[in-house]
Amino acid sequence: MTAEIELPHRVNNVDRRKLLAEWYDQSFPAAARFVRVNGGDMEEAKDLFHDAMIICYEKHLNGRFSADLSAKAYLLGIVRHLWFRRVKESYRSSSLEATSGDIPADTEPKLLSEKLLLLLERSGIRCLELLSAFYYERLSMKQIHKRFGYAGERSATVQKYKCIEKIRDQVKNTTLSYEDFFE
Amino acid sequence: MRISLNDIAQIEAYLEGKLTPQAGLFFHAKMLISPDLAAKTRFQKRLYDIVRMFGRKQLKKELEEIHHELLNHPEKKAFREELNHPF
Repeated sequence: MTAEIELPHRVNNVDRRKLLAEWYDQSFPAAARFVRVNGGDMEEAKDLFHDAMIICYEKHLNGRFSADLSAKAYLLGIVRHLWFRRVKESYRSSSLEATSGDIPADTEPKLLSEKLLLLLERSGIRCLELLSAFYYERLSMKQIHKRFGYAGERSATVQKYKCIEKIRDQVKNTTLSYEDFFE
Repeated sequence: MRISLNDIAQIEAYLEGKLTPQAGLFFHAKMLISPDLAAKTRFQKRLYDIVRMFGRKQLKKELEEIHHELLNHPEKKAFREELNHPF
């Protein structure tokens, strides 16, 4: 019997939580076993499993899983892939450390994005939550209505655009220059 | 809807590939002659990335909570036992 492979969109946070917990229950023990057999610890198993869950969840948001693969098999496959990639990278970086102390180029832009995210979380979390519901979770209008209480599609959409405008004005007024936002 | 919001709506349609090819070309041309529109479009694209970062961050938080609960909730003894099962 294959496990439920589709992650249906749910109305509220409680249901998403319940579904993620089910997947966790089903698949984490096997993932942890795999990592430990290969010399990793529980912390690494947890990290990799979380990354795998995120990948699965986001893949679901863009379309379905292949009907042939259960969520558990998919998750374990990703964990294996991530594990081997991590092992490969640790070999590579340990040899690099001997030759160069330079910080890799791509940490700079990431730090800026994170700085901006923190700024927006402090000053406009409600807007972030609304935008996340639209653009990340891809909730339907009905679900958006249930979660945020907007009267209809039009008012939710207008609020979404107002949020974008508000954040745009906020960024313009911070000490970060508008151009910094683009890197 | 205010004009400024119309801009945002149209930028979104452009970024999500929802404009017709002709409208897309027209928008592209507008961006070439209006640095302000181009800047707004770049901003919005970047904002969507940050929103996704936020969404992912929330998801990670939720996964941590689930993990913590599974490892500590008295009801989840069976789960913990399976986890520690010798191989």
